[in-house]
Amino acid sequence: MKLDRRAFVKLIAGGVGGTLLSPLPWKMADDTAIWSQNWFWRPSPERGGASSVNTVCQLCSGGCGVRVRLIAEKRAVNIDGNPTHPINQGGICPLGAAGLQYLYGPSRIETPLQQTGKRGDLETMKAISWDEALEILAIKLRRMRQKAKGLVCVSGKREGTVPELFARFLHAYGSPNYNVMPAAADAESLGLFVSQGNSGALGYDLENAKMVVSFGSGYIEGWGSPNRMMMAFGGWRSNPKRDRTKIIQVETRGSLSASKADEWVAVAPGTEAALALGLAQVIVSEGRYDRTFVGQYTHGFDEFRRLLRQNYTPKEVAEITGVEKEKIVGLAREFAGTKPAVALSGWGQGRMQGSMYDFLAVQSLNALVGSLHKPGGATTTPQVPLAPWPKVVLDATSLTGENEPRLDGSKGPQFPLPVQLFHNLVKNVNEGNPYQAEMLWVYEANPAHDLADVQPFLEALDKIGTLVSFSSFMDETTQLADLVLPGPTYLERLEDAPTPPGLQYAVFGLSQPILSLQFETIHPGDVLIQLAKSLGGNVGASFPWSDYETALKERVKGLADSGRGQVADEPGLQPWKGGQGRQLAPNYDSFDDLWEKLIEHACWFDTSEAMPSWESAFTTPSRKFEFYSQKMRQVGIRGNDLTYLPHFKPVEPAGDPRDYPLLLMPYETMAITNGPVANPPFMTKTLFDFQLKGNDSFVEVNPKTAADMGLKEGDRVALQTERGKLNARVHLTGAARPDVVFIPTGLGHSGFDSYIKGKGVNANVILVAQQDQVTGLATWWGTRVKISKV
Amino acid sequence: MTGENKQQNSGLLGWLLFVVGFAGALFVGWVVFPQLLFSTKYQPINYNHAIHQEEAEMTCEDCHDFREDGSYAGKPKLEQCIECHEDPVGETEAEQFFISEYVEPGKEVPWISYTKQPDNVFFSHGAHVTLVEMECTECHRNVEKETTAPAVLINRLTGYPNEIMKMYVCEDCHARENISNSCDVCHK
Repeated sequence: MKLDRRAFVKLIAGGVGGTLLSPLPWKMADDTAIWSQNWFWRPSPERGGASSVNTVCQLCSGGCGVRVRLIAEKRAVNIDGNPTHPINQGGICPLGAAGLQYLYGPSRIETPLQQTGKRGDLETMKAISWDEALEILAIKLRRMRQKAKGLVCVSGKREGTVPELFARFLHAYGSPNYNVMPAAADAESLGLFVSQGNSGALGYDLENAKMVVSFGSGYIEGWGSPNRMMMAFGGWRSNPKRDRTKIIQVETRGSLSASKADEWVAVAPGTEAALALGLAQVIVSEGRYDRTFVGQYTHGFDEFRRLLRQNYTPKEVAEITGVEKEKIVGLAREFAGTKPAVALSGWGQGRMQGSMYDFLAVQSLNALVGSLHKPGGATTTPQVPLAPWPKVVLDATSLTGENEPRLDGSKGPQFPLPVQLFHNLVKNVNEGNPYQAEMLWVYEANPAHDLADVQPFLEALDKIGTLVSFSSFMDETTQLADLVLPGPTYLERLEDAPTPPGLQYAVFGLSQPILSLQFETIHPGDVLIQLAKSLGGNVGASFPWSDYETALKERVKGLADSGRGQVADEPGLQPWKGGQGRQLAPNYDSFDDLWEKLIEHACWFDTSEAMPSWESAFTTPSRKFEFYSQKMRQVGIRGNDLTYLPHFKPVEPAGDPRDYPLLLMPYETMAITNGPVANPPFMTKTLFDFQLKGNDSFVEVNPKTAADMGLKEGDRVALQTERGKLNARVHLTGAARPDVVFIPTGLGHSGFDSYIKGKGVNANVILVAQQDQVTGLATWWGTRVKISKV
Repeated sequence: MTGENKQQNSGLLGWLLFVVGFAGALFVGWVVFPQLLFSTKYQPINYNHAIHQEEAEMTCEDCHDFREDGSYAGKPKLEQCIECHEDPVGETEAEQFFISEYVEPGKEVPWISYTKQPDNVFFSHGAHVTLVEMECTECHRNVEKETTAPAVLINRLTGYPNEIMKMYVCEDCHARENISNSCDVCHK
């Protein structure tokens, strides 16, 4: 008996037959399919009960209240607007709604990092412990104390207790070089300083205005607090037709704001301020101004009137702006005849410093019609009554530091006005003038991508010994850092959100950690406190708190003690109703009660100090609104009469028109964020395919200009400016006027993660920032460009 | 032996082997394979459903409840157990173990689910129990008489328990009750 081939085949056949009649193959096939659904990398939803937590969005300075849906109190699954928050009234913008992509995105930094190789090489960035990281920084700071002034800090967040802690650290350490990223708020603050006497921010009572003339402001494209503006726009448009608010958009580009306005006044590039002065001239010459205000509460009106008559008659302004004379006269009459009417300034989203004189020109319109500190007009944003921290403890080094010239040159002989001039700082660092920058700290900012005219900044980095980033993300600046001290995102940390730009009443928002820390991050406020303690001496003594929360609470005690304002705890609050200085009955009875309610509702607001009376509003030498600024004289600005008056002073775009025949203007849109965080993938998806197609950016070109150059829709072109070259594709649109091409800013990241980087090109690389010679402010409204087909 | 016999023997042997293979495969497929495929796990506590229903007169919903928003909470949390079992109620060994191991240290009991649905299925208990008032036992085994917690058989390949409901069961019922069987009813 022998097992031959046939018998073996039969055994196998029997086995196969039996197997087929058993569940084995069928079950295996089914289970293998299920198994393939459970590979470890596929996402699995958190299971558990849902809850909602209120907090405040910190992705821009808009200060919106958000409500985050959490599963099992640990996994955030949705961000929506908080209906009880007076700023956004439950609304949410695309950036805020995409916030979870930052919290859970792969560009998060998980531990402190130290660059052990060449800057920018991610391979040689080594994860280190917090103890090591703080020790490395403390040692460096101890060593360079004699050169303390060489410590530079740039914050992207302009207001709030954490930026204040950074400024405080530099002050105690002995450096005068605390800086913020440039923005229109700089020109605004300067303009307020020279015309009204107080640096601060301007608030517009837009909800009550009957006519709004926007001089280049992207009022529904991210200007001010974006959701608040959307809500205000909704209000303007929901009024019954006969009573609806009229919107005029003065802008070169046919933007979304222009298309949604009642009228788009397409001025020649960069001439918005000239049109404002043209309107002022008509209002003055026809006697349509507010005689009470101008007569009793202004200074220098005669000089201003003379200037207007000499330089800004409708004929002259028509020549500058390209707007017909009749239109200028008609617009001026309508503006003066509509009560209340208000003029807005700050281009686009308000990212560009721009010109103080442009600001003054526009605000002089508000002054002329008495729309200052009045319902429906422009006012200064009231201060939040936070308690001050104890004074910074100074030693010999910090006293010397206080008196050192600032690296950005502000308050110095050339630019005596109090403003931060980051572009000038970059220039001075590159020149080593007047001294070396030793170390740069970057907080909530990404200058290596977001700074317009970024090239000089990148060069300046080579001259700075150490770059320290406090970012939560691997952004372009952090990639270049020598030391990274990652902070938690806004959803994981406690931090105040001050009154947003453009708001007419005071707001104190509070972000809170809605879930536990996702990574080994430490709150930058706590990092500073720990670092100060480790340095000891006067620096340590200047940071007496155990942690950031204690420091913040100390300030909030002032809020409670003031007995002012209310915690916003019900939907439908409309703080702008009720006129000037409306007193609110506080709905908290002690600090503990206030804090508890702030944690629950995340917002306090107050209207009692909104819109001060004309008697008390101005702190200029004349105690009046100054058309002719004495304050400028006081701080040491020397020049002719023109220097002290609002006037149109165009800064010529960089580049010889013979070599660069076209003008390139950057623009901002709601669908693309402009830092410090990069556009989240959710938002990038909302871009049209004439804004971003694949990885290609588009430049907007007028069809006529394109035809002259032989360009068609979608053609690939190279944009060449004095600063550099970028490739993009052509989008033909009537929104671009002939001879001007437009490119959006905010795209073209090379940092972050694979879902974010490589989308489009970064316009900041080829823009050239120009400097105003009186104020030192930087402007990059236009750069001359040459376009060639590639 | 003749050549013919050889052939006959070989043929017989062949068929015998066929039967051996066939039976062996059936045995492996029906008996060995299921034992290999499933691992046996025991609940951390030998929970007695019967005693809770009979003596304490509790209903399913007392422990397996719905949250305020209508979603189903699933397995009970320790705090629900503590409402009665902060101190021993009975004298069983299981209860003593439960109190010393979980109640006193305040540790959640890691109950093992008998019917965990895959993540790609959106199943709402609310829709089935609250809205159309189905009985728990229409889908789950009846635990009323269970005095011990049965072992949970976990599929080694998929990680799911063996009592998992297959898609055709859902579809059959939906078809019978005239409920849509379109993909996105369950796969969101």
